[in-house]
Amino acid sequence: MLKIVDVCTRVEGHGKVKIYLDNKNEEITQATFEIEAYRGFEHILKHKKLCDLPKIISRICGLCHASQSIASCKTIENIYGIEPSEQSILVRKLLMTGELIKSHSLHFFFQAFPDLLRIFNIHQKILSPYAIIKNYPQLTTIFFELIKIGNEIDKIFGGRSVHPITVIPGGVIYNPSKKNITLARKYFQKVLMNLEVVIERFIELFSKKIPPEEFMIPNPIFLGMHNHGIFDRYSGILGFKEDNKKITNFIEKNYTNYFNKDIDLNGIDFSIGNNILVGPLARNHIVESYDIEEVSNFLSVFDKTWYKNILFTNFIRLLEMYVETFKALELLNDPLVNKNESLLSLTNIKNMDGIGVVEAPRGILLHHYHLNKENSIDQIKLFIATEINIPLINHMITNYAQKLYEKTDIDTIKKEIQLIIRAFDPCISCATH
Amino acid sequence: MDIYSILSHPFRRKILLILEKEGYIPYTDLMERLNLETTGQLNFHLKKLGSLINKDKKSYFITEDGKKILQILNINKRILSGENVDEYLGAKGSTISRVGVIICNCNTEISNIINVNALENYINKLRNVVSVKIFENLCQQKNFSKITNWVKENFINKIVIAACSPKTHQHLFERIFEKVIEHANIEIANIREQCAWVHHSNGREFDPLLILEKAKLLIEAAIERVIMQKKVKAKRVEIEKSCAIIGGGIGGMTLALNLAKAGIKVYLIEKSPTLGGKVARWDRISNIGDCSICFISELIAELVNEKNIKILTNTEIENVSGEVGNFTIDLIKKPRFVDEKKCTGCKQCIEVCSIEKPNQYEFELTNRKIIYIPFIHSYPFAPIIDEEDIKNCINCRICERACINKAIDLDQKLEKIRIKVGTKVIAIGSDLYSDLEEYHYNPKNDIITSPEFERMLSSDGFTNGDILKISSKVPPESVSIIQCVGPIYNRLEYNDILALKYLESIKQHIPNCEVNVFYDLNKLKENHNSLSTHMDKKFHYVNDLKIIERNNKNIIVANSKEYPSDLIVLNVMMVPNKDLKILRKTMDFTLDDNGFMSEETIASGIYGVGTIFGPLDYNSTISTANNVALKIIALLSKDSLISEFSGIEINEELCGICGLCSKSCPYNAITIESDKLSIDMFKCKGCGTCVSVCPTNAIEMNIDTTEKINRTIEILSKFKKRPKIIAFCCRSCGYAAADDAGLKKISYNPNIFIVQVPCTGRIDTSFIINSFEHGFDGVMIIGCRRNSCRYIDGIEKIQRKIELLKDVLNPKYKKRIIIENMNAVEGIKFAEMVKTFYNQLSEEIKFEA
Amino acid sequence: MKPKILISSLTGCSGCISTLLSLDIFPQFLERTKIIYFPFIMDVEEIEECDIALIEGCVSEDSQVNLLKKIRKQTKKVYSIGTCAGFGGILSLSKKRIAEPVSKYIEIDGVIPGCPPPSKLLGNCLIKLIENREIDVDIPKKNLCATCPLRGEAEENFQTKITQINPNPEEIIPVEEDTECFLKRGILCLGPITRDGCEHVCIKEGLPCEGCMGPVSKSFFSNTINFISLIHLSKKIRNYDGIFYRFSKPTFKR
Repeated sequence: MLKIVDVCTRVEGHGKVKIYLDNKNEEITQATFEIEAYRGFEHILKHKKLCDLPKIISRICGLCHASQSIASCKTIENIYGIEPSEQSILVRKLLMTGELIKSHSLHFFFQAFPDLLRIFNIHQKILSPYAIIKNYPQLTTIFFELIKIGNEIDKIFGGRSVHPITVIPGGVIYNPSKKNITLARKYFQKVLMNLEVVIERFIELFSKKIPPEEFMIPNPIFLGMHNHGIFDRYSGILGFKEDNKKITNFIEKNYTNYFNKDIDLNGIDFSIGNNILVGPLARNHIVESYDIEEVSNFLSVFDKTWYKNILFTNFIRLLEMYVETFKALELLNDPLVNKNESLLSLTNIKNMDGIGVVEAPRGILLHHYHLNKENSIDQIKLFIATEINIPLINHMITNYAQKLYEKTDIDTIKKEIQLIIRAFDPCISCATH
Repeated sequence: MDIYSILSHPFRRKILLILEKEGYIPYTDLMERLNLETTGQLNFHLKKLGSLINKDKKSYFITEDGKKILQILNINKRILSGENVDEYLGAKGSTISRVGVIICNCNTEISNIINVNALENYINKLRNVVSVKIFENLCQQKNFSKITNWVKENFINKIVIAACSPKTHQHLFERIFEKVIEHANIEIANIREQCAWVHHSNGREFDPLLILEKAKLLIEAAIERVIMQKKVKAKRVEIEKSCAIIGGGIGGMTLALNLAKAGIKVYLIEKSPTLGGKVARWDRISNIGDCSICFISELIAELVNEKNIKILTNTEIENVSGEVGNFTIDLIKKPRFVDEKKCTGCKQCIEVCSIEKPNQYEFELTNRKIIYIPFIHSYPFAPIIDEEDIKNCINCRICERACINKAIDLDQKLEKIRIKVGTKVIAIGSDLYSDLEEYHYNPKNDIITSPEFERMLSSDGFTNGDILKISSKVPPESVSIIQCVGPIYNRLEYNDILALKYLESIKQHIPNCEVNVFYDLNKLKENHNSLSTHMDKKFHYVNDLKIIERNNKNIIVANSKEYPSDLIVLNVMMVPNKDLKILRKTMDFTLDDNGFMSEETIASGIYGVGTIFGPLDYNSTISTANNVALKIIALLSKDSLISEFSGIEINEELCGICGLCSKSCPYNAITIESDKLSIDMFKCKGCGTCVSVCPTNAIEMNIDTTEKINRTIEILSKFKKRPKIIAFCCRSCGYAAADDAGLKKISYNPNIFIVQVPCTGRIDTSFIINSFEHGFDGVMIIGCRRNSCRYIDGIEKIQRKIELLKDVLNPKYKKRIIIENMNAVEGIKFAEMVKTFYNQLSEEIKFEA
Repeated sequence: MKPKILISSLTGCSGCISTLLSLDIFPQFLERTKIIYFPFIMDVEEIEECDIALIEGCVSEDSQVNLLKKIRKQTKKVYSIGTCAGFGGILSLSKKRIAEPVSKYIEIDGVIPGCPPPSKLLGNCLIKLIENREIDVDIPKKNLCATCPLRGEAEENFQTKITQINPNPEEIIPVEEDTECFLKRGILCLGPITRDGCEHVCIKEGLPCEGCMGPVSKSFFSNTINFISLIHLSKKIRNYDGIFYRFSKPTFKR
């Protein structure tokens, strides 16, 4: 049995694709996307002080740091049985928006866009950012600005652009000044303007094309968060949806009914099927509406063939940025955003188990902490978007590799299947937490 | 060929100098000038001189290169003669290290164990080493000039001496090289006490190659250290020709007189309102038979007449700064409320005063007025109101009116005095043991202490010199003296002498009185060997002693036999003066295991006299005073001292002024002033505790730098045989204990390496971490005893670090760091510790494998 | 000739890379250099000769050591970016995984510290690097206390008993002019043993320093022990390894 290995590029972190051939090298038996070097955060976090957790957990990922700490805070608040103030929630949402803008922009511009150009035969030879800068100067300027603004927003609301410090269990220790609100508003308005250009450009470039069949997701189960059908990454509930069926509620505290994990083996056992998809596309299928008129218009341009195609995620990313920015501007107008509210004290532990969920840019994060009799954490389970997606990724790349093997050589295949992997925007740091 | 090698031969230097002077000189003239008879030798040297000289028409002349070299040679000469030539070397100073290594065979003591030739071969190959010289016996006078010549000829500017412990001969070596090499540039590799003398073994030989390897590494580490040594600033201290004596007792007064007669200005500082100390209140001085008060008053009279003595009574020390030769002492003279100068001592004020309190000078057995004169021979002879009593004064001002000379000043304030002295002497004496509950001490019940008995014997005392039962005021029919009451130290003679004196006095006063003297052997334990046994039947050496009371009569029960005792005298021991602990904060000395001042550890410029070292009788006190007087006179006869500042330097570019250093300094030598650290160079004693905690490396020691210690660890870790042990030993105790093991030739395994640190407080956690990272299997830390640390509490500071370290490290390492307190004579304990630790680690390593 | 740049990530969170990509000067950086290796944004796999290498993340696997050696061989100057590459980083908390600084395996020319490095610091350093100047001047050499907004009388700060690692949420107060030093308030602040340069973001928000900028000299671990040995720490928090191993650990097995 032959094994071909290649290192993935243009993804966050270190991942490999492995292609397994049968003994006669006639058939590809399997292609997998593999990540190594689990860092063992679930072990590190044992017996750490609860208030230290969000700060340490944030270091799982430098792209979805805010979502990680917020998920952790929500979990701890669940343990103490407290609800943070509305002001805190507003700031947390704004912080998550900044993170989403930065994360999605980075992925789209550096990682996804060159692939799209190639897949749709617009540019074949884009190998480095220099080529994009040369061919798409306007987009380049826009994306650099988006990335920078995402960074600045996080700096304003998180105290620091990466690994926020303002988010603590019990609320947020930040009360934006009028000056900062104005500044943030300006930033968001700029983002909206830029995104309109980008979205139009995307539509112009790709909407009329027919996405390749290999990128279609086979029988997916979409898992994501919604707030009564509306898009909400912080305070919604989870639901999953199979093809053409109604949404089933995902009861967080019973998550073991759907999947579970053994932290020493670093793998998830799925009981509702392996084709679970989380992330922007899943959210798109879970929410009934984005509640913004323009968005429906943008979506309607695309043919139904796009809807279950993983490449469509790239468009949804742009859309999500648009939606969130739009909503962020509304949040900034909320008088509560700088209301002075005292932080909740963490004194009485109510539950020995705490579960917290948020939607990070790449999909859901589910944290579960268990306390022992001494009120010290003795068990931690972290379910992180990319690791949920991996079975589906493997399924899709195996199919694609097998199909390609009929007409092309293995070297091309190992590069080709990375297109699928990148479309998922895997975050390997997260996955190897 | 490098320049130094060209110049290393005196002949070649001479040729250059001649050519410089003469310009051109023919070959034959040159030969003549050099007193040479054969041409071969001259040809050889001319060839060696290479491009420095040239030949023109059979005459030799010096080239431009040669002139440059000559210039260097001249500078070198000036450097070697001790002149400061910084202008040539630029701001950073010279970076060239030319290390000379001296190996001393120590009369075969070293060469019998270590293959010195193999050692020489190894060292010759090490970097920066220019010459290695082996001496049979380095410390012999006849070698000194040989050594200095060798230094000059090889242009050696740094020296490593592989010989005995620095404790033995460091000062001698420093003196040998005084003119040619700075102290800081001399490193000693202790291959005798740490190597040759402890690995010889009787019976079981250690592998000689291991011992050789150890010696090699010890020397290599010393070479590396000396290479890293940067220039240390020297400073010149003008000597203040005066002396402060703290304590106006018999020791202090005798010394003061001695010094004053030698023309030295003396400040005699006494805490209490009068001179005289304890002895002034005693009856007679044993051995002499003289009445002590007569004796003291004579001494005082002599003192008072001496112009060079300034007497400051009722005065306490507030602060001391400075160093040997130049100390500044801040004093507080407490108010006396009576002007000493106006007072004639008529005592009218005392007569009229209506407030009384118990008299502490009579052990509260009698009362006195709050305005009082301590005793009849007090000096100054003027009444005083104690500062604490002024609040009891009802302010009736009758005394004021009673005083004809208007000497009473009830509003007198304390006075601050600053004095400058070249040296200071501590002569505060000792305290007397006072925890006497188990002896049912109660003067009213006729159980009294020896000082109280002394007062009873004194003609000016509360019984006017009669021996009486205090309860009934009648003479006792029987007196019992219990000896050695209090903690037992080695020196028991003092107690003994007193008992003899009491026997004699009682016999004189009440010839028929039955007197018994008791020694409780249970309390004396092993110390009773030092006791001289009296054959007299009055002396009882008993194993069981208690005091009981029956029918209002005290009875001593000793070895089940009863001794009725009308009067019991508890002959109390001297215990360390409680003020010693306070003085330690401002002066530099340590306490011994018993809490007395430790003689070996006093810093230079400070002396001690009298019973601060332990119980002493009168004669011994006087002889220590005379001895110290000689030392002080010798020191103050110089005009100035030149010393290297071995303390610390601050790099302001790195300092964040977090204050950790100032928090850690045992002497409060580091303060933060207007956002800048400032070091009081005089308060700094160079323990290096601050350096160990500085998180930015902004503070560095001038000599014991972090860089050097880390490099030492690195070099020593090259030792191949496991288990490898590194021992950080403090200079005054740990290192001395290791030396003691050497002096006693107690053998232990060669796998241990001793690294000297000024104080265990200097040990940075990173040294320990570094040692483990470099492959050491065990770390030992050996410092002073608790409470008697040379630098006050360095040992406690490292203990805290180690506790924390053990808490957070893998349990395996908990057993691999050991910390021990030792004093300088516990070589046996040191060797035992090494052996046990070695065995433990060997087992663990075997288990791991 | 534009300097050739190599940017490589080891084990870490990519936070430093994301900070790099969102720098003001990043477009300028791209323009003035020739990036030849940066897997995060481009498809080149072979390491070629280059001028400057920037390394993010800690070393936790053997394969990374080989990569590092290869980089060192091909590169004129190598810099560690961030606390992971510089000192080991957050994974030092792990008892199971190794997390070692790059400098343990190859010689490096400097560390740009921070978790992640503050944008201004990183930006300034990158500009210096592409202009072939030393970054030394930009890296603060003092500790956090040097410019701390809560700076008071330093001696007083160590008198109190430290009973907390983090302030309780209700006790978090925004920093004003007369706010007292954390240590004085009985809260453990690692400012004295942490490098300056983070602009005191945590302290300004009312949170004590946890040491993410790494140590100035010695190791973070040794400094922590030295520091804590000087203050009165309540027994309750003494053994909490979350303090000692937060951003680096000794390299012998713990």
